[in-house]
Amino acid sequence: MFLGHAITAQQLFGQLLIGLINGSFYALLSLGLAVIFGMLNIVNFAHGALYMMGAFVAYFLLHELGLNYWWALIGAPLIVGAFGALLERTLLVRLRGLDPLYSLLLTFGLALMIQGLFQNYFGASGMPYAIPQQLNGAHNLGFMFLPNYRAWVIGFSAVVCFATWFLIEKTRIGAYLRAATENPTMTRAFGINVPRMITLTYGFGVGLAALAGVLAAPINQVRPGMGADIISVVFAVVVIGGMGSILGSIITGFTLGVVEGLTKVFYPEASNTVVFVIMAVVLLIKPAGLFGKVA
Amino acid sequence: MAMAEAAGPTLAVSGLQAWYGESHVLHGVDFEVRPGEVVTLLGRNGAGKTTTLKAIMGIVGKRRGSVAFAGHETIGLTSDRIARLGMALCPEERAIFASLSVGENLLLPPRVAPGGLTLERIFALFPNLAERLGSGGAKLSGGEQQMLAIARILRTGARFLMLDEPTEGLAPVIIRQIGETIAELKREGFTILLVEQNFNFAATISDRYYVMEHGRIEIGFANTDLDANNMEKLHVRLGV
Repeated sequence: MFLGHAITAQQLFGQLLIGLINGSFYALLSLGLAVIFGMLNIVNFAHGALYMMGAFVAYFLLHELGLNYWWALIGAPLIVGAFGALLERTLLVRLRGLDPLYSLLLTFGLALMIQGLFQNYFGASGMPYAIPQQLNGAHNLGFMFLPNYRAWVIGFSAVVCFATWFLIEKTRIGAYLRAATENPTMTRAFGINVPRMITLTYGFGVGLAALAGVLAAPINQVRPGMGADIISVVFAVVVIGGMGSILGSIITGFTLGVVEGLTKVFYPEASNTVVFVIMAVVLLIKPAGLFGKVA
Repeated sequence: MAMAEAAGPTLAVSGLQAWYGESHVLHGVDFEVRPGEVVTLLGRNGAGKTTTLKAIMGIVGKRRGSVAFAGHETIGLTSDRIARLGMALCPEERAIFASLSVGENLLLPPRVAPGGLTLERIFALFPNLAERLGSGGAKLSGGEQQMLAIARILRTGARFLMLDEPTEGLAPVIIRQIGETIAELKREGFTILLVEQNFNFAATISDRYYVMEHGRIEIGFANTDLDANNMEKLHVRLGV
């Protein structure tokens, strides 16, 4: 039986923490995907590769320009986001109005090309990225040691997710975005430059992926394959949460990270598949996802 | 009370053609709207009235010809640029955004010029809206949706408004309220291009009429020329 071995509190909380860390990345990545899908109706398969680019940009900023982690936290999303905006303006814009399958294929191809290029130049093995010194060390919470950097990642991700939700649901810019999602023609006829907004939205979603990449750099190594490793789980998260749902992607991201972590404690054999099992069950019961609206 | 701007027409449409995909809907539309006028496009379903408004706004698939707004040629502009020149469309389907609250819908269109109505004025015209600001856009009744669709373009400072069948499917009491609003806007110097099936409604507020058929203007006449002869023409074309 899978409860055959004793489970220590340390094990439990340790896996819970890892679950929350992974959940942070799932949430940030699926949030970016949801923002992009909602506005552009594009399933952005390049998301994992752009996440990886975020980590690499952080690495280059540090080793080529001497700009530390905190600069990377700002710089990498801006640089990779600008690269995303360029992709949108030059490539994705040509597929507007076509079946989403086309943009899925295009972004899938882009992901392979980007990852292949990085692998060609930097090899498959990882490069280390040090934890910023301000976040070294750990706190003893009594029942477990909490490394400061991991606490930072969870807290910061939650703040960024909340801020993004707030931006989209509660501000004027968000109202433009929701309006343009619902009826781009009329929104534009009110004098709002919808094509520019679409480009910026794609850049923003991509920037969130790059931000996740920077956060991940000190935890995992900076590797060309890091995006490909995480992206299939992230897509499962998006499907479970419901395509395009902002709040859904955040909640589902964190929750599934924790579920994955707990599975590692109670039934480690299933920890790599539990997300996909949940996806299958959700699809059977609620095909639009837990938070998705039926179109 | 025309504004003291250039003496030319607010809107001059000539040889306007428009397409939806492959289908050629407008075949050379010519008319003009002068400052401060309320002009109504009449015609049967499918005559091209709605398409004319959309073509002026720049939201049809393809358009050719000339649409000059306050002396500026707009045929090559995108709809957001056209809107920023100071015109606004209240579409037939009302296009209230369901994912936005009533308040967000009201504040959505950006200001394109100074001199838009204040929120106080708007709530004085449409008291129902003030009570529903927090509701979802989809929760409104048909009449409230129509009021919101008109109200939100009054804030923007656009002085040229296109209203597509604002009375369609509404109760008489609400039709009266909308008629009073349009009359009030006219007194304030707004220029209005109206599309209406309801001739009796249009007759209470219009200065001039154009009758459309098969994607062209067939006849045009002023309200003051509504003699037996013109009524007969209307009767033949519209069944009024």
